[in-house]
Parts: sequence; structure tokens; C-alpha cells
Amino acid sequence: MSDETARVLTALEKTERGRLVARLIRITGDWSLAEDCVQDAIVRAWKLWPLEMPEKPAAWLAVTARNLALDRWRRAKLEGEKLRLWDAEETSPPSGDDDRLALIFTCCHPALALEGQVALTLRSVAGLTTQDVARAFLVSEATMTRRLTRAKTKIQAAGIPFAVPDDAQKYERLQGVLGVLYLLFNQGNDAGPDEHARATLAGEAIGLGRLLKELLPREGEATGVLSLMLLTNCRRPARFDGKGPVTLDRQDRTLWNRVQLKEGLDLLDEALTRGKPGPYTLQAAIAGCHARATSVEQTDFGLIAGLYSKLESLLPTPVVRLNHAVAVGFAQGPEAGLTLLDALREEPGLAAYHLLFAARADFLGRAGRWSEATESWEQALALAPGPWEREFLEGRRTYSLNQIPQFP
Amino acid sequence: MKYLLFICTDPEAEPYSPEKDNIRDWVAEMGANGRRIDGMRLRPPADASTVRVRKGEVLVSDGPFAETKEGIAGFDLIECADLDQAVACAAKHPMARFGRIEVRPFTEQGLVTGPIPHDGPRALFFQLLCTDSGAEPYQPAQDNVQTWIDEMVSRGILVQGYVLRSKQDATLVRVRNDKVLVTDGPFAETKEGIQGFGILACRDLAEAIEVSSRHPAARFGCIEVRAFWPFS
Repeated sequence: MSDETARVLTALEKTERGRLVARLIRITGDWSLAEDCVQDAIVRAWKLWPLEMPEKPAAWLAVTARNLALDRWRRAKLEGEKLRLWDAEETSPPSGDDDRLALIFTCCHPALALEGQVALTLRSVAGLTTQDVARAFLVSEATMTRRLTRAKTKIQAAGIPFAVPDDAQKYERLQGVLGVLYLLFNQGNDAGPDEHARATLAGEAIGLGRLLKELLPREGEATGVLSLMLLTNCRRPARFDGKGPVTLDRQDRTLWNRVQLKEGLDLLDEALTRGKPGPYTLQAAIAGCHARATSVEQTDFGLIAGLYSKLESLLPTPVVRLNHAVAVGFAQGPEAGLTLLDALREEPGLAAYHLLFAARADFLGRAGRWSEATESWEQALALAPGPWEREFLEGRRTYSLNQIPQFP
Repeated sequence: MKYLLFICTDPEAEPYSPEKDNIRDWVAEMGANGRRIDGMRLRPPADASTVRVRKGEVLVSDGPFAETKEGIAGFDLIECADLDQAVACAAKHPMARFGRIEVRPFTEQGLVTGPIPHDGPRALFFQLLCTDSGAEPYQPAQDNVQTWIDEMVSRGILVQGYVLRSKQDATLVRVRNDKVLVTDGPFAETKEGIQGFGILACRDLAEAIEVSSRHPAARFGCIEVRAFWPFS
């Protein structure tokens, strides 16, 4: 096969696959049939195109997938009524973009179990094989097949519509879609340096984020979540050294991926022009402050503390409140941070949270209150949920207690 | 598509407030737009009886088919274009706020309807057909549900009967702080699962229990029988 043919086909597979699957699902209502026929059409293209390249490759794929689906229906003797329905659907098609957006919203429908939403999005929108999805979530292929079948069965049995929700529901439903993308991203982002299969999820989530932004260009949060993912992912090359994870304050920032960083900052500027920023845009703005700084010392923690305070009003979770307290500590000095941290110790979700005690210990050290700092490190270590977290805290403790206080 | 709404209590729901109880408006609206087919309120779960047949012996216990914090308080049958429409109907029901509502699709195939006979006083009873962890295995040769249905329809006892989709196809709808929460799953996580339901016209509870004990599902599952509100 010529390089040119392979290049065209690989590129088309990326851009057209989701569109074709979405269109066939809309027309047939049959998810497995749609996925199989598009896959078969792509396999045929790999065989036939080296012999003769079609004039309109994208149209060739669409017609082939459609004919394969029709053949299957004829073989299943679903003639008459259903085939007439097909003609009616096909003569008045919405644009391919509408189909892909409907596919995303259907995969992320809140009536599906969250694990089903995530798996189906990867399988049907991102086009991963069941085997790849299984590998990324560290489950067997049989388990993942069951999970996908369950989700598809529910879509059919419960009558989940293949549609973009109406304006009344769109905002709420978009939150669900963004949640699935960000969960996927974090699955990949949390992967260790050797967990390659899981780490690919971050890239898949970014790809899905690009698609969503393209389909919903005016939704600030769709742009915001993409910016957040890029500004987080650009740090990956610096996040591990030979010994283990490296926290933000100790990372070699020259290793950060400049291309992703620049794109993330540009997207952040764009998201901030789309009305009042939502939680993802605010988190992207916080990541943006870190991305713009050349070191921890150069970071504008005053701005970060202000952003966390806005985020806290939208998303008052214990972890956001903890991060706010930490940012205030860096901006206004350790005693100011400690005042907020101590107030958080009353929170039921945080009272036994090892990172709260670690942050406290770090500020106590910076304030020169060494004996209290040592005691708080002990508490943090005792609360660490597992050996990995304990090891991480040991490293932080050594680093923190050896630091000369840098922040007044 | 047709959906059964299980209207349920929920101890963690918002407290009842009469100003927000718009049940009459809901029934009127759903009747006017043609969505609501039927619906009735039940006696509380404590008034339920559950019938099991084990080793040929009829066992009747007090209470619903499963001990849960949440309890079924009534049902509504609705017809909608798709799940989103059904969820919107459920979300408008006041019990989405004061309790929780399970939206369960059902198959047309299992639909049974018969006329209510006028041969003396009868009361309507709610009948839930459930799976049960300790039940005897289903035996196609012996467990002929259709024979039971045919007999009960001809005697005017089985007024309505429905085969529900699996509990895995159920969707839970709640309204909390004016926000509609939609999640996967039945009204309560139980080992047992509701598979079908019927409406029986019987002389009294004893007859409803007696005819239920002869349903094969009492052997390969369990059957909850409960009177409608108010009890006459």
C-alpha cells in the first residue's frame, strides 16, 4: 500500500468513524449493527483502496457502511416497514454533527450507570475496541463486553432517546457529559509511569474534548474543560522521576509540553469570554496561573486564592475548600492558611483526611512551629489510606522539614 | 412507550409540605395531555402480605417483598414518546420531591386486561410478582403462568397484568432543592426484583392471598399482595 493511501485512510478513520456510527445508530436504532458495519467498511477500505483509490473516500465509506447495514437487514428479513423507514430517515438527514452530538448525549445519559456511560463513550464516540476499553479500566474483556451490552440494552429497553436534549434540559445534561470526559481524563492522568493502557485515557479524553468543543463552540464550559485537561496534561513529562511522583512545586518546568500549554492558555482566554465562568473554566484558570509561572515562587497565589474562592461558591466540596485554604496560605503566609485549615478540621469529609494534616504540617513547618509540624506529619502518616500514599507523605515530610521557610 | 411509575417513600427526601403537594394538578395535567393511563394509591407497606410456596407449603408473612427504607406508596401507568418524557412526567409528581419515583418500562406482550365483574362486592388488590433469593427453581413444565392467567381472567379476578422489563432497565427520579436527579437503578437496591404486577378484584384479602398462592411465581419467587387506599 502506498503511504499516501494509508495516510488518507488513517486520517479518515479518525474524522469519519464517529460520524458514520452516529448516523447509522440514528437511522437503525441498533448500536451493535452500526458499530460492526462501520468497522467492516473500514476493513474493506484497507483491502480495496490500495488497488483503486475512490474519488470521494469519505462518501465511499458512508455508502459502504450503509449498504452493509441494509444487507444485514435484508438477510434478517426486516423488509417492508423498516426499510421504508430507512428511506424516510435518509432523505431528511440532519447534519452529521447533530448525529455525533446526539451520540455523545445518549452515551452520557444519566439513566445509564456511570461506568456504562464512560465505557460506551469510549467505545462508540472515541471508537476504541472493547479490548482497549477493558485494558484501560483493568477489567477482563468479558466484563467490559457485559458492561457495554448492559448499557446498550438499557438504551433500547428503557427508551433512552437518541437525541440532543432540548434547551430546557441541555445545560443539566451537558454537566453530565463534561463529568464523564473529566472522569476519563483523571483516570488517565492518575496512571503511574508504567500504566500505559490507563494513561492513554487522558489522550482519549482530550480528543473527545476537542470534538465536544467543535460541536458546541459557544458553551464556555466545553472550552473550559478542554483547556483544563490540556493545562494539566502538559505537566505529565515532569510528573515522575526515577523514584516516583513529583509534586507541582518540585517539577522541572522546562519539561512541560509547551504545545499543550500554549493551546490550553489560548482556550482558557476563549472560555473566559463566554460569560460567567463555570467550575471547569475556573479550574482551568487556576491551572493557567501555574502554567504561566516559571517557578512556585513566581506563582500568583493571590489570584489563585481568589479563583478558589469563586470555585468554592459553585462547588463547595471539602477538597475545593482544602485547596482554597492552601492557596491562601501561600498568598498571605502560613498562619493565614493554618487559620482556614483548622476551621476545616470540623468538616466531616475532611476530619480524617491525610492531605489536610499534611498541608497543615507543611504550613506549621513554614511558620517555624517545628514540634507541632512533626506531630501533624505523624497524624497525616497514620491516616494515609495505603502504602503508596504513606510513601508519598514520607517524601513530602523529608522535603518539607528540610526546607528553610520561604514564605513570610 | 409505556412506563410504570412506582411512587415511593424515601426517609431522606424533603419533608412533606402541603403547599408543594400539587398531586391534583399533576393528575389533571397528565390526564389532559393523555400521558396517564391509570394510577392508584396503596395502603402502607406494613399492611402488605407476602406469599411464598416452599416445599408445597403456603407461607404468608406480614410486610412487603423486601425490607427496605423506601416503600412503594402507589403506582401510575403512563405512555410517553421516550424515557426523557417519562422522566419529565415523574419529576413533576410531588412524590419526586417528598419521596422517590422509579420509572420502569414494560413490555406490551405481557399485557392482560379483563373486565371487572358485577357479581357482588369486590375490592381491588395490588399484586407484585418478584424474584426471591430463597425460591425454588423455575420449571417450565410445571410453572404454567398462562394457565393461572386464563383461569383468573375468566373468573374476573385478574383485572390487569403486566410483565415489566428487568430492574436493570429501571431509572430513579428524585427532585431535591428544585433539581431533578436522574440515576440508574430501581427504587431500592435489593436482591429481590419486581418482575411483574397485577390488579386483582377479590372479595377480601384472604381470597387475594389464596389466588396468589396458586400462582407459580409464589413457588419460583414471591408475591406481595396489598390493598389500595382506602381499605373498604
